[in-house]
Amino acid sequence: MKRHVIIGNSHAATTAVEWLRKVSDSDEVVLISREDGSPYSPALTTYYLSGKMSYEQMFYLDYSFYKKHNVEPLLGAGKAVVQIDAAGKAVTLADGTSVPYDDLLIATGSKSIVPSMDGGRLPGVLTLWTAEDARKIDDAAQTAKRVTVVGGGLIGIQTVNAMVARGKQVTQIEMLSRVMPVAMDADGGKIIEARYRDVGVDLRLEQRVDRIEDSNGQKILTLASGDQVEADMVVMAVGVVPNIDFLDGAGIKVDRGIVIDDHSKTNVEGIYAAGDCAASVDAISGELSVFAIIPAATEHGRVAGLNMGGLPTARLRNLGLNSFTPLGVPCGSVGILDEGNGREGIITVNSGGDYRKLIFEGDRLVGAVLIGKPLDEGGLLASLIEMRLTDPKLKSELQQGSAAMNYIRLLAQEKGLASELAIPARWTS
Amino acid sequence: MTKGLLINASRCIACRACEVACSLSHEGEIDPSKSLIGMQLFNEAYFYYPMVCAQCEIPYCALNCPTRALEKNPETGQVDFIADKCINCNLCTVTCPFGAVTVRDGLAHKCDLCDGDPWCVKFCEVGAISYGELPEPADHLRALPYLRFTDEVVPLTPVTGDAPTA
Amino acid sequence: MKGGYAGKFLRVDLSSGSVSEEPLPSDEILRKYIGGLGLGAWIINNEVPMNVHALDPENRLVFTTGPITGTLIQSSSDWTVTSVRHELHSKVIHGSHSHGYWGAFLKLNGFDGIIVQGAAASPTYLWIHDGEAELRDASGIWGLDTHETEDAVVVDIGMVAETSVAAIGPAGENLVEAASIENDKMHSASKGMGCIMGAKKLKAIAVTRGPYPVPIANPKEFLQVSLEWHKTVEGTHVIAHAARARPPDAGDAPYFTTGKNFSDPEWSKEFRRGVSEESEKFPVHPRGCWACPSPCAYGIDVTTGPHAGYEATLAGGFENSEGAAAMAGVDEPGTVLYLTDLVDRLGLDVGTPSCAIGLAIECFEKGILTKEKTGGLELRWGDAEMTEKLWRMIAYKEGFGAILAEGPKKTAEYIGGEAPNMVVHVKGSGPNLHDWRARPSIIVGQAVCPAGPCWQGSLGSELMGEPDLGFEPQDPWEMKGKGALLAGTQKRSTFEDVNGVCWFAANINMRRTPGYHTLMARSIATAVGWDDFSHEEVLEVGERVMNLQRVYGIRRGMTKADDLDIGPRFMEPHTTGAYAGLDIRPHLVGMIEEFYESMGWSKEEGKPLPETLKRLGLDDLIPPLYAEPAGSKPT
Repeated sequence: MKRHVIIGNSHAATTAVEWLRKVSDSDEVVLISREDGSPYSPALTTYYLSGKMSYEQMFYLDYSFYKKHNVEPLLGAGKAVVQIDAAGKAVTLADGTSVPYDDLLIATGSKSIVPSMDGGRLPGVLTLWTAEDARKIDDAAQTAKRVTVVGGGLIGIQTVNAMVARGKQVTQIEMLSRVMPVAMDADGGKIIEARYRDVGVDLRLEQRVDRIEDSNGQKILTLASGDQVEADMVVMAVGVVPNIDFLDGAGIKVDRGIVIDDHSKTNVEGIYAAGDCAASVDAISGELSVFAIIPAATEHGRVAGLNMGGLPTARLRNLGLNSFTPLGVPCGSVGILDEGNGREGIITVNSGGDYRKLIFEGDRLVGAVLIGKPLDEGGLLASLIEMRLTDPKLKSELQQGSAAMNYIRLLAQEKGLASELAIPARWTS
Repeated sequence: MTKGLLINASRCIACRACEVACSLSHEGEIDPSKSLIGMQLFNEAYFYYPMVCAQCEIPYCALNCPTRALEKNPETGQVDFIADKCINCNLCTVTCPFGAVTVRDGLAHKCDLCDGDPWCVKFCEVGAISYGELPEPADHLRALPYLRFTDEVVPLTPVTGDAPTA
Repeated sequence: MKGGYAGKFLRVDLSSGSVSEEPLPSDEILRKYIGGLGLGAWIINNEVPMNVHALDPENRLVFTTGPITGTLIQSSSDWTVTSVRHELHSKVIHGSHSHGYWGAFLKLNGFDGIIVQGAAASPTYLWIHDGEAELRDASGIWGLDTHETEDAVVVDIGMVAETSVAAIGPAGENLVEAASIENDKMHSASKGMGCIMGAKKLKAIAVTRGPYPVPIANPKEFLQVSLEWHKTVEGTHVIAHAARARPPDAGDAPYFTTGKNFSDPEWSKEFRRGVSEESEKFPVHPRGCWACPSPCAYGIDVTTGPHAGYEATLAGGFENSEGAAAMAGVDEPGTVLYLTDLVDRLGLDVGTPSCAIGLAIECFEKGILTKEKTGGLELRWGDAEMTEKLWRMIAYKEGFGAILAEGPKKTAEYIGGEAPNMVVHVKGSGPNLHDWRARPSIIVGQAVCPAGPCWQGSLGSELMGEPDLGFEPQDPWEMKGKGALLAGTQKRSTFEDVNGVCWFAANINMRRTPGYHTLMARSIATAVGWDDFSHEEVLEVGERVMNLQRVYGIRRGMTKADDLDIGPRFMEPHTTGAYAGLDIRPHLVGMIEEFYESMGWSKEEGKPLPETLKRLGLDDLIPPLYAEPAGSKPT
C-alpha cells in the first residue's frame, strides 16, 4: 500500500484525488492545505463578488469529499508545507510535523502579485485570489461607491464586471494599450473595452500606478502621468505567480513554475506537480508555459492522479483555453492568439457584436479568439487545433463551414472513411 | 456500462427530424438552432452527421466545470447537467471536444437523453441515432472521446502522440 | 391563433422593386383556408381580376406554407406556389407543391409566405435571410439552368451556409407553359409556375435558414400527434426508406407505366422492369426532406452506358422518367436518368411536353408527320440524342420545339390528319404521367380537378380504400360510384394541399388507415391551437378550396365541355395485359356528372349550387358566379 501526499486543495488536487481513486481503492491519500475548509475555486471569486453565487457556493465540494474518497485532510495555517525532503521522502509542515510520502503531488496553485509601490499594502488596497480575499473585497464593497481596479487581465476584467454588476462607479487602470493581453487578441480586447466604456467604466490604458495614498479613508492613486484617481477601494489585479516558495533545497527544477512532463512528473523521482504552479509544454506552441487555467489544472491533476495510482498515463491536451463573460457577453480563446512569427490571423466573423478570429501557422490552425455566438464553436476549434493537422483546405472552409464540419471531415479522412467529404460550397451546409 | 446516443452516420439522410424533435420537446417551439443535437451536412458527399454529447469517459466539460453543474453520474455513466449550479462561465463550451455543450440565455445546454427515452431517437426512422449501451473501451480509463461514422466504433485521439514533453 | 404559423407574409412588388411585410389574414380566414393552396387560392381570388392573363405582371405568384410546414409531422416539408395557370388558357387557379428545405427555412425566417406581384425591368432574384428580404440583380445568372442557378446564387450571396434556392431555368425564362420551379437540386413545383416567375423576370428565391422559432400551441400534444403519425407511416412507405430510392414494383404496377405515347403497354412494362433492375447497380445516395425519413429524393451515379459518370439528382416516383425518356421510347437506364435530370435542369415539367413529343414521334413513325413540318428533324422511337435535342428546343422554344412547347393538343392540331385521334391530353395539357387507363377514376380525377390535370384531383383510393371516407377497396372495372368516391378523395387531397405535409412521402398509405383524417385534424388543432378542429372540418376546408377554384374557373370560362376535353388516346383501352378492354369511354359523362352531383354542383354545368357555396361560407361568390356573364376571358 502506497502513501500519496497531495499539497493543495483546488481543481488540480481534487481532480488528482478523484482519478487516483479510479485506479486505486486501497492506497493512503493525504491532502494538505494551508487553507482550512473544503475545496473551492479561485476562479469563482469574481462570480461570488458579482452576486451570481453565495460565498459557500465557491466551495464546489464539501467536507464529505474527503470521506467519500478516503482522504486524510491536513488543513489550516499550521499545516502549510514549509519544506520538502526529497531524499527522505517527507514534507515538513509549519507546525513541525513531518509527513512521509511514497509519492507527492504539488498542486499549490498561484498567489497574487502585490506590487511593491508605495501604498500597495494600505488598508482598503486589496488583492483578489483566495476566498478570504473575496470576503474582504465583499466587505469593503458594502460601503464603497468608487472602486478602482488596477490591472486589465482576466481577474481585473472579471472584478470590473462584478463591481459594475453591483452598481459601483468603476475606474480601471492598465499598463498596456489594451485589456486582456493574454486571453484575447487586440481587436477582441477593443470590443470588450468598448462595452465597458458603454456602461460607464472609466478605463485608463497605458497608465501605471506610481503610488497610492490614504486621505481620511479615501485612496488617492497617483499615476505615472501625474493624473490622480480617487477611490473608496482599490483592487490590485496585476497578476498571479506560482505558489512555490517552499521548494528550496528539494532539487525540483523550476522555470517560472515547476517543470513537469506529460505525465505530470517533475525531474525528482516520486514528485509530481499540477495546475497553476506547474510549467508544462504547450502542446500547440511547443513552448514551456505556466497555464493558470482550470483546464490545465484538471488535466495535469487527472494525469498525476492516474500515474500515482499506478496507471501510466500521458495527458491528452495542454493548451490555452479561456472563457469569461464580461457584461453577459460570452468570450473565449483557444490556443495561440499572437500573430506574427509566421502566424496569420483571419477574422471570419465580425458583426453584430460577434467576433471570430482564427490564427493559422501556414495551413495549420493554432488558435482562435471568440466573442458572442462563435464561442459555441470553442470546443470544436480546440479539437481542430489539437489534431495538429496541416490541411490546405481548412483555412477557406472554416470561413464558410462550421468547425464541427471540418472536425468531422478531417477525422473521417484520417480514418480513411470518407476521403471525398467536402464542405458544401453549394446550397445547404 | 453507459447508455447514450449511438450515431451511425452512414444511415443519416439529413431529414433533421432529430433537431426538430429536440427543440420541440425541450423548448416547446421549433428552432433547430436550439437543438441539443446538431446536424452537420456534407451535401456533395451525401454524408450527414448529427453531433451530440458522447457521454465521454473523460468528460472534459464536467472535469472543468468549477461549480460541478456538469458531472459524470457514477451510476449511469452519463454526464448530467444541474442547471441551478450553472454560472454561465462557458468553460464547458470551450472544453467539450465536440461542441456539444452550448451556452444560451445564460445557461449551458447539452443533451439530457430525455430521461432515458430520447425524442430524437423516436423520430429517427432510418436508425442513424439509437439509444443504447455505449461501446465499452478496452481500457475505460484511457478511452477517449469518439465519433461513430459507421457501425464500427472509431476511437479518436484529440492530440496526436507527438506532443512534446518537458 | 397561438402556433403553427410564423405570423406574417412578405409582399414583393417587382415593378417598384419594393419588399414589405404584412400581417396574415384574420384567424377566421386562416381557419377557412389554412395555408398552402388554400391561402394561395384565396389571395389569387382576391387580388387577380378575371381579365388578367397568367403572364401579366398583375398576376400574382403566391408562395405559401401551411401551419404544419417545417414542424415534426412526418414529411412536413411542403411549400406551395399558387397562381393563375398559364396552361388551360389562364382559366384556373393552380397550386404546385415542392419540398426539400425551402419551405421550412422560409418559416424560420418568420414568413408563412411570399406574395410576388408586378414584373422586374431586368432579371432579379430575392434573398431572404435573418428575417429580412432583399432583391438582387440576376443579370449574370439569367440563362443558367436550374442547378447552375442554385450554385451561382449561393456564390453571389457569399456562400452563406444552409441556403435553399428555388429557381427557374431556361424554360421559365422563355415562358414555356410547362416551366417549373426547381429547388434543392431535387425538387420541383411544376405545372407551369416557372413561366409566371419568368414573366416577372424573377430568376430565383434563395432562403437561408432563419433564426425565428416556429411556435407550437400545445407542444406536448403535438409531439404525441407527430409520434402517432410517424408510427402510422413507419414501415409502410411507398419508398423504401434509406435504401434504394426506386419505384415500387409491386403487383400490377407495371401496367401503370407509360411510354411511347401510351401506344404500347407491354413495352412500357418492359421499360419499367429494365430500368428498375439495371439502375439497381448504380450507387444511390438518399436524402430526406424536412422531417421526412422516406427519402424519395436521391443522388444517383450513372456507371454504365453513354452517360457513365453522370450524377443525377432526382426525386419522386417514376413519373418524371416516364415523361423524360419513356414517352420517346428511350430505355437505356443511364440515359433515362440523365434525361430526367436534364428536364429538371431546363426547368420543365415532363407532363405536357412529353405528350407532345410522344405524339410527334408516333406520327412521324407512321408517316403522318414528315420532315417538312419538323424543320428537318427525323423523329424515331428510342433516339436518345434526338430526345435530348427536343427537350432543349422546347425549353428555348426553338424551331419545332416551339410547337411542342404549346402542348399535345396544339401539336396534334399542327400535325393534322389522324394526330388529334392519337393524342394524350387533358384540357390540352399533359396529365400526370402514368398509364391511368388501368385506373378509370384517376382519368376522371385529372379531368374534373378544378386546377386542371394535376395530383390535387386525382389520387383516388380505388384499390386501397379509405375507411375515413367509408370506401372499401374498389374494383377498377366497376364504374358506378367512382364519381362519389372522387368527390370525397379530392376534398381530402385538397386538404393535403393546404396543411404543409407532402402526401407523396407521408400519406399514401395512411389513407387506408382508419383515423387518418382525425390525425390530420389533431395536428392542426395542437399546432395552431384551434382545439375543436375536427375531421369533418378537414373535408370541409378541402371542399371550400375546391369550390373557390371551381367558381374562379367558371368565371374565367371553364365549362363542362372542358372537363370532357380529353385526348382520345388517354381513354383507349389496352389491347393486351391485365387491363385489356377496360373502357372508360361509355361511362365518362356519367362519372363526371356523378362527381358534380356529389360535390353539390349542377349536373348540367358542374356549377357550384348556391346552397353549396352558402354551406361553405362562400356566399360572396354567389353573385359573381350567377350574375356576371361566364368567361370574362383574359386576353
